[in-house]
Amino acid sequence: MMDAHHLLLQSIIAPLIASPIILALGGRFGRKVGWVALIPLVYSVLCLITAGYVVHESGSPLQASYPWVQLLGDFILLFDGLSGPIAMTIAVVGLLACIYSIAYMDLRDGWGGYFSLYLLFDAGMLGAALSANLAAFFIFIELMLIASWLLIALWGGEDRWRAALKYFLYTKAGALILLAGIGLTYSIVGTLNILELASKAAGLSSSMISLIASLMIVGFLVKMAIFPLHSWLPDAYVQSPAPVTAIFSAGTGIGGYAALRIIYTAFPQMISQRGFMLALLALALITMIYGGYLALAQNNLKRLLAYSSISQMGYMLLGVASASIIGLAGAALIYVAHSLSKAILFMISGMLSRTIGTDNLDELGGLAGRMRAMSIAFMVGFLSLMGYPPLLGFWGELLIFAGSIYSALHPPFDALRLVLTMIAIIFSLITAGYGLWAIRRSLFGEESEAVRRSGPEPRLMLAPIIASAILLAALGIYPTMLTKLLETLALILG
Amino acid sequence: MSLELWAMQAWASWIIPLVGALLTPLLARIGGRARDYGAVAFSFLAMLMTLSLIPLLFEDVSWPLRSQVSWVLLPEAPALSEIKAGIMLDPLSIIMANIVSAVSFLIKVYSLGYMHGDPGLTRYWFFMNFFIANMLLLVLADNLILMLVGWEGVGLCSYALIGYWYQDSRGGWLHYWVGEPPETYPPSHCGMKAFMVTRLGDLFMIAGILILAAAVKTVSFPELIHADSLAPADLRWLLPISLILILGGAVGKSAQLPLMEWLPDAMAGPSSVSALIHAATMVKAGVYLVARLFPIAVSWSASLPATMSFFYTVMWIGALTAFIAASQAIVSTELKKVLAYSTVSQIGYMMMALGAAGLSAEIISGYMASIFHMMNHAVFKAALFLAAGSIIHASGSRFLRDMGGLRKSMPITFYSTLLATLALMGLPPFGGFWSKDLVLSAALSSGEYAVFILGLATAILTAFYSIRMIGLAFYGGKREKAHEAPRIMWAPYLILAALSLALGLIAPMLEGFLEESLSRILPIHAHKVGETHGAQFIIPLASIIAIIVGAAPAYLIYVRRVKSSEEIVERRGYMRVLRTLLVRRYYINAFYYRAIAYPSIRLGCAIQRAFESRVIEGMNEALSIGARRFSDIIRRVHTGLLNHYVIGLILGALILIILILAGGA
Repeated sequence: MMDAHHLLLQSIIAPLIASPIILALGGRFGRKVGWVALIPLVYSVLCLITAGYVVHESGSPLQASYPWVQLLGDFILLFDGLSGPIAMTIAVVGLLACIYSIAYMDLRDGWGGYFSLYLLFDAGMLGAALSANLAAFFIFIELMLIASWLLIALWGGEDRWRAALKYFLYTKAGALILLAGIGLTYSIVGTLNILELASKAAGLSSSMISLIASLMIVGFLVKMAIFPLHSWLPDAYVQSPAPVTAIFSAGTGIGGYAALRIIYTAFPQMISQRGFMLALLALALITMIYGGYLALAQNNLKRLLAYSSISQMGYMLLGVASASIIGLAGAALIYVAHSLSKAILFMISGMLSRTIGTDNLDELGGLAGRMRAMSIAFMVGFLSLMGYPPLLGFWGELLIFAGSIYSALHPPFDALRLVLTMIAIIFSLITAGYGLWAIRRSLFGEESEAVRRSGPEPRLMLAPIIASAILLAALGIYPTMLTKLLETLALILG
Repeated sequence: MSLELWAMQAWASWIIPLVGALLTPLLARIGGRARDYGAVAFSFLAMLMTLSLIPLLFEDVSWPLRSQVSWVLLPEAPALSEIKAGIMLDPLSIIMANIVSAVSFLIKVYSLGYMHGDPGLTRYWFFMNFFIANMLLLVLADNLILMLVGWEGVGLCSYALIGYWYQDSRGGWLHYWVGEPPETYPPSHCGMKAFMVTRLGDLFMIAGILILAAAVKTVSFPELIHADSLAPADLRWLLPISLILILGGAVGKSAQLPLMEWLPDAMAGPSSVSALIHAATMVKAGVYLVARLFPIAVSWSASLPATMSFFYTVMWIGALTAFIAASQAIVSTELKKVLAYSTVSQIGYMMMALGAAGLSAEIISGYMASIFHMMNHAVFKAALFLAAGSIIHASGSRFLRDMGGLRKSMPITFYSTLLATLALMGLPPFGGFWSKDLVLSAALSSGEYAVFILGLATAILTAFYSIRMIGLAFYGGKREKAHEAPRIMWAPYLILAALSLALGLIAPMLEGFLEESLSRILPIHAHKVGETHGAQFIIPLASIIAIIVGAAPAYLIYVRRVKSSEEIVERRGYMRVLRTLLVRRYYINAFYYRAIAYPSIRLGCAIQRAFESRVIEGMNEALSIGARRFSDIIRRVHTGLLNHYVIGLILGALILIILILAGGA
């Protein structure tokens, strides 16, 4: 078998190299340049699926180091039970949303620029998910930020500049706090390799570790749009073009992934810090409920989905705060499920705006009879968000709750955690509430005026939507495809 | 692992309808008939598979038979590290699976006529077969998580089929909507409501399952029997609590108090759906779950006395629901809603029997009573709903006031309904008589006389609303011109109605057989062969008197029409108040809307207005304005005058020099 280590680097490099080429070709090919942009994305998917297969078979993580800026340590890429599913999701959603872009962006110009930035965004996300060096991670996060900021600012909706600036400033502030944490880590622990941090930081005082970890976590909370740092998200999501919003959900979740890494791989001492974990749990709970109630209040589908994303990030943070490997698995599955279902839903929201002219729920109605395939995918997306079996979201939610309950019951018994988790479980009814109500307002009832005038579903937009829905169901029916990778987790857990 | 024959049959019984569901869209491409008959054929095959399991009941098998495959792996996880997909056969699951598959096959046949020509048939057949698959999965699952998958699956089908006529057409109000103003709802609303209410129960159930999983590290039924010894000593107190949380799921699914409000409105779906999902099978899933947990709770109760609270809860929920729902049935103006309240009430009976059984010395007879009543009810209630479909079709309205006089023009429907109604009332020798008798005797032997009295009062109400329904639909002068339903429709309900009589005729044998089989799944120490004590003849007597007390006034008012019910109610103030209370569903429904549903949306909007756009956005504004102010202040320094800059330069240099000097000193 070929040496699989370099696959990881290739999956990031492919879109990175293709990006300037696409920019150059843009002028000549026009819209067709989107098809060229698919080549590196398909390549990334193939690389990562092969890597996943190799890891699955060998039962050990895949790791590749490259000499880099000497000061910062090696440039390390890691594909294990946690980063693997995350990276594969990014690659797949990136590919699907790119196909969708080709159809969706047909009224705009600047093809080359759009797809070139799109590839940069994708490469940034892949790099952030795979790198095990904090400096490299930071650089990829910045790449993501700049690419996505420009995508919103240049191809967004009417209020795009304001939204893009708000997004940029919030994320930048978060990034600076993160950078402070990384800088402290470097100066105190002396390494940026997250796989070495745990052993090297073992001698440090717990207050110092708490300080470093908290700084970084706060940075990630901004990225995840956790309450009260969430206010950039609704505007940024609503103003982004639909395919960018579709991958944006995967990008937002990277904050959660990084939080998992920092707590469970780099500073496992934090797991036993009850106050810290409970604070995260409380933030998670508030975010879940807050985002849910606000989603209930929305009339515009895209804005509803944006608040739903905030709420879902609360779920992911609950997995982070579960202090258990079960919850960690749950958070990873939530990431995958949420990215896929939000990809479906945002692509549908864009498709409705395109074919019907609006995605305001009070102007829709009766779509079930007109757009059957879309309606099924729409329901699949929302049902997975609600945690409904046999879709993947079911396992994500089940496991984050299971993990948190497990931590609550196992010594010492933690009544506060048990109660908070119970509240979280019961309040997850809100997701069903806003989901079903959105379904009812758009799919059921009599056909509205706008709907009656609408055209058919564009096939090129529909195909990636259906593909995501099938993936969501297939992974949900047999989640072992993802969870088996857990045995290769590079982490230390008490 | 070589797969034994029984295992293949059991797996096939739920996989076949699943395949049938998935093939529906493909069959629809061939043609309408291929799709319709194909769907029925798949459910016929499923029935054959479950029927072929029955011989096992007569063999000397050590229950349960289990067949498992690896499913979800969580390596290194301290709990739930491996969740298996497993099938479990024991007398309870075999009996339940057969009720489900046989009733659903007959309803599928009926659907061929009833749904003929509907434009959404592909969707209909898909969800019907998908429902059967999930229901059988629920029944056969050997652990709580796999059961949960089937459990949510049937919930999804229920949602989709209640809202089947999702256009909510106002023109078809008489046909498709449900309820009278101010509580009238379109189908898609009812589907959503059913989903939300049952989901609330399911979330409690999930919480309970996860507590079990964390405390005992297993979720499979056979292993849970010994969970009281598996759990660490300091966590044992959680076990009864987890059982009661799981009960939340059963309460939601089986529409028991306080989560019963969805089922009456679920009548917005097609009658065949009401018959299959909301009478014969899915709503029994809650009873089935309690019956599954029953041996576990009995076994725990020896070491954990607190487990008795589970039985108390089940019994009281059942008894109160039985009575309250029956009282609502006597005022309902819609045919199907009478049946819906009646279903809720009868399921209350089953719950009551299960709870009482756990509290009494003769565990097995109460347990058997519940299962036997479930069987009888599945048969006669399915017959009633299917017949109701024909009646509504003939009279063009779902309201009882638009019916009447159908006895002559629809004789087969009339006699089928009559037979099934008599079984519902519990008249000897119908099946319902025997099982209701057992239910009441279980209540009595638990020693809770209040429960027994509630049960008896329910019997009176049941007789009253049953006769009222027959009288309003079939007697009186109106509508002589209706047509009898086609054979493909009446044959299924005639068969079911006849079956409800046949079950009664063989009841004495059947009871013995059920008791024999079911006793084998209960823990050994539950087998106290209690001799029926002398007072037991009181119960049949009491229940026959209850029937007469309830039926006689209803017969006079609604069949003989001696006096109009309006007259009786209008003349007495307290009757009017009582009627309003019953018509408004004890205001429980209104409570849910006014205290939970609408306030939640309003709360969302309020947060949006008062917090999200004021405080959070205000914070952003403040930050940006602050930043600008700050820059304005700084900007003032940049006056553009050379003198100011030179002064600044000198000042800066001075400060630097002082700092350096200070540092050096």
